[in-house]
Amino acid sequence: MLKKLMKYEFQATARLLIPFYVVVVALSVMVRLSYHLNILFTTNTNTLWSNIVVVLFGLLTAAYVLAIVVMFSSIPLFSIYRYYKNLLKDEGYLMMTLPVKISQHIWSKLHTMSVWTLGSVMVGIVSIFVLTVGTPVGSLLYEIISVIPTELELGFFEIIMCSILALLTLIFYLYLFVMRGYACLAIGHKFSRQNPIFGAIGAYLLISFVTQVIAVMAIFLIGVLSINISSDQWLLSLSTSTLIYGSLLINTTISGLLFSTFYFITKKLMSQSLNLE
Amino acid sequence: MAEYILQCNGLSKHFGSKFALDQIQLNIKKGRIVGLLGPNGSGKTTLIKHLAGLLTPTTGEVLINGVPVGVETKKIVSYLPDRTYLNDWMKVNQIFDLFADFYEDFDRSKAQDMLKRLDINPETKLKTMSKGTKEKVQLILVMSREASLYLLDEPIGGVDPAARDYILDTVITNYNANASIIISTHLISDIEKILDDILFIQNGKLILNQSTDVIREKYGQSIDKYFREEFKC
Repeated sequence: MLKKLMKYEFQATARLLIPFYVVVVALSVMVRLSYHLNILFTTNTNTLWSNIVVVLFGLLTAAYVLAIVVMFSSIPLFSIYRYYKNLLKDEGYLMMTLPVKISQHIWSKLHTMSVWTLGSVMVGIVSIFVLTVGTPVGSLLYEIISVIPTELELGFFEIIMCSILALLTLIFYLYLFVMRGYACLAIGHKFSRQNPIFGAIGAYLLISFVTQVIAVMAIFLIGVLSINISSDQWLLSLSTSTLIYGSLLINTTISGLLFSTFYFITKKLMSQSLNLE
Repeated sequence: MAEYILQCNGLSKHFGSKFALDQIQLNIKKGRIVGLLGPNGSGKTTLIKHLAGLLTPTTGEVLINGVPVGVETKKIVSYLPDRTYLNDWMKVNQIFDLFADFYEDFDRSKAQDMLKRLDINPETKLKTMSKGTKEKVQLILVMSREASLYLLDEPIGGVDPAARDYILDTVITNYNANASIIISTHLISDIEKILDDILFIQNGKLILNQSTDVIREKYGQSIDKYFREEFKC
């Protein structure tokens, strides 16, 4: 059933996201073309046309940057919106009467979001390649990337592992962000029947406050405990890869605990207190 | 095997201080067509939503075929809500695909036959359809399932009188003979001829649960007339 739910979730989201990806790639091609036009006009002449090309290049670059920002930031927000519209509004009358578990609804939306996030990363890489290949910026980028392993004293295998881990951590954080959105909507839906969105915003603020308080307390506790440890010596003795893996592990564990809490709240409220009105 | 397709045991639902349903005690046997009648705001839709799993009771329980409402009951319940729930971006054929994917009892050929008789193009996008046509598509989806319990919330409320007969005919001729149907409506005269039993609900309370034959015999009048006198404003 999860696969079937994901199939329809992909269909519903692809209608908006695929055209958006096409726009991002098209913009990168246009920026690249305007970049060459810019060089051509500004080196040869100084006419009205060169000014137009400069303005065009600036506008297209701004549009491209905006599109990239929207592409990466909109996917998790879009997933939260889909959860609200598809499960808690009129479409919920169909979706919530399908013979599937609440957990399958939640995972189908999360997994679909993560695939689109990977899609956005791929589109981002393709568009940067289109923009920079064969240009001085491209050469500089390649130079920076090629010195990273030497600077960080990491081998090829470690670089690959760290990249995969970083990508997984990114997706994990997205899951956490979106799951928090789902939990807030479930709480808003449960406790504020007239204005579930306001209820969800209230829940978001409350959860943010509680997590911040816990984080501050944890930092304070670690600080107090570290007074008796020669932390500098201990930290300096660790290798770069151990530090990267260690920090990723700590982050992932904390995110995992938060995610489990939000997942439990959402599942509980949706299965035991659903009120579609 | 459970004797009753539906059992409500002390079912109550509060919205704040308001009782939407109050201690509903109800057993419905298999193979019955039941009319759920009552004035506006009496709790008809709230009751049906509990059976469909869209609302959770404040107290009490609902059993469908002896099982609490959940994934298993959703497999055998076919629910027509009082609103349009279709994904607007889909074509009729795509929503048929969705039903075929999720409901093992969905009979696609039956659905296509009904679509043809109503002259609806399966390649039409739902967002281009009128409200009435969407309601017909929803009814086709619901009645094309070989379900054990059909929950129809105002199935004839939004369509023109000419289409009502067709819809009622569709309900009668397409439901599984061993199944039960619960129909909620205000338009009693249109449906009373097909009903086996009547449930009267008022202010969240079940005030009458009787067979239509007994009501006609006991009160010597049609269900519609009885209802009008009983709930006179």
